[in-house]
Amino acid sequence: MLVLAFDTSMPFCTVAVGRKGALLGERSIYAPQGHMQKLLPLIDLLLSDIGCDIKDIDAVAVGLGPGSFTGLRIGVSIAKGLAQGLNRPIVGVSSLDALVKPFSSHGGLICAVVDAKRKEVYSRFYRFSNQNIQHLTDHEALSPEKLCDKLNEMNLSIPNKAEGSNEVILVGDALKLYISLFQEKIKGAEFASPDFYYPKASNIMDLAFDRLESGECDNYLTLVPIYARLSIAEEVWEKTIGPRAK
Amino acid sequence: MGEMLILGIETSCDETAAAVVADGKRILSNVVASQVEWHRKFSGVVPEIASRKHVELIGPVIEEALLEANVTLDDIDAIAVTRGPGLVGALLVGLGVAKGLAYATKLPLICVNHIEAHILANFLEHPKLKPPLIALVVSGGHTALVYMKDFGKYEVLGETLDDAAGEAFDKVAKFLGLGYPGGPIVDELAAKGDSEAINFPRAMIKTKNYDFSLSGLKTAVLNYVSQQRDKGKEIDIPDLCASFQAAVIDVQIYKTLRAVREKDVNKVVLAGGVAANKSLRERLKNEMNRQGKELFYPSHSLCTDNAAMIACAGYYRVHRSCLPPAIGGRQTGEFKEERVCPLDANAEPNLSLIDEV
Ligand SMILES: [Zn+2]
Repeated sequence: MLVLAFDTSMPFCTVAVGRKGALLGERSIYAPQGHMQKLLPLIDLLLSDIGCDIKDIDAVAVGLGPGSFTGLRIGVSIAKGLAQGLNRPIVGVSSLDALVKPFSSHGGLICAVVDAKRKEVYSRFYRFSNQNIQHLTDHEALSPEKLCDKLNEMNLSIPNKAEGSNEVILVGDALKLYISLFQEKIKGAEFASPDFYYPKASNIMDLAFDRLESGECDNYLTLVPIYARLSIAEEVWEKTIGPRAK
Repeated sequence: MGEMLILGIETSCDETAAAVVADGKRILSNVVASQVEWHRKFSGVVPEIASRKHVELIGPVIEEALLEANVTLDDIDAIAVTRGPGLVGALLVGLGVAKGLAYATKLPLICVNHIEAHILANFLEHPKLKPPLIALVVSGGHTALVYMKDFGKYEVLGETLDDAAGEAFDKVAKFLGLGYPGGPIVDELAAKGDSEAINFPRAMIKTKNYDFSLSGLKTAVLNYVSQQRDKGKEIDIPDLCASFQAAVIDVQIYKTLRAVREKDVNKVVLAGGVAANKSLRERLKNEMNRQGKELFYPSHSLCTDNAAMIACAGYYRVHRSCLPPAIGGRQTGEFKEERVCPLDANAEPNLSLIDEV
């Protein structure tokens, strides 16, 4: 089964093609604001590099975010068009899941932290058991300070820590902005290197294979991005008019 | 040679739409999912909400358009999609899906100008219609007076300098607490009122150009209402609606007729959501008939945003560039290269009509 995977939730446009356990190729370019123009040419280039045609693809996997709203919609829209046009399954994968996937041999807590602008981060907490991803929380947008409190609380409450892994690993591009805050506030924090600040399409692909193997997939008719936030208009409505209307 | 089937996709504002049209004139399906319910409480289109709804609705809408037309993607000869103008986040959804579909099916993708498509909706409805003509495009997003010399040959004579016509209707309706969208509500109330009750300014009616401005009129309405309230006088809503509407339409009709004289044409077409306005239609029709000239407008479902007009515009866009004139079949070789969108096509929120010539 040949899978095409990509992610456009962050400034990198990243594309991979491969079979289960066998990556055939991966290309990533820095393209903030440029996903609509770059994604399909990048897919086309990668496919021709590895001598495949789009018609050979058996499933399409896409990063659902959270991240840039516009970036997400470009990725999900193109994925929907491809899946419908190929008449093949589509699999949506959390971009934060993809971000922590390279740390699957870590026994302790892992936290994905992505810059969400407006002085917030998108975050989700994880643990791996036997390389399998476990979600401890849902995706959420919160201030970096709140994240520190939450993480400290969570880290204390987790029993049976694997030996030698008391640390929490933080992964994602929010480290660029908040690493000193995290160093100061979070006990036993370790930080992923900048190589791991953005999700890679090959990790989206690995997670998609896990789901496809267990017979799961999404539907191109209903698949939507993970925004983890309301639109600003709805936020204002909820805060001001909403409570009165209820 | 078989008919050429085009799948049209439109997501430039708050309608998610897909349609299948044969040879640019026979509508096999025309599916529109209106988002008005989600925008009503904000009394206007919220771009982020529109973009989110497009992502949710686009798959089912395309599926429905194919089902209703009783075809599959295998029967389709080309995909046409709105590239602009419009809300950038909204445009990106339709363009993304269309590009994905075209790349996967290896069908040609034709990028279409939304304003041109509004004008060409008239050719869907009236297949014998031929340019040259003057087109008045009035909707929630645009006000433009266009001289259509021939297919693909346009001259934008004038545009709005501030609010689009539909936008002004929405804002006045919101201010008066009449509901959303404002156009049809004001139109209906105006029918019961006296259009000469209040003398609102006819902005830019005297200027030599063909541009429009509506923000002054909007302010005049707000001032009138607060003055009346200060005086403790009751406001006659139908009279107010009729007078406001007449002020908008007077300028549009005056400038349209001036363009007809200057360009020496004998046809005018209306396009866009506000083209459904009864008063505008009737008054312009009377004026044109008096001069022995003709007015055309599409039926309501083709006035407002839809994808049949996008498929139609896509057809004219390839058709006029192809030799021999009759096209059909699936070979992409029959499409002139420059008419087919490249893989790196992007949305153009400010796309102008000139670029399409
Ligand atoms: Zn429109």
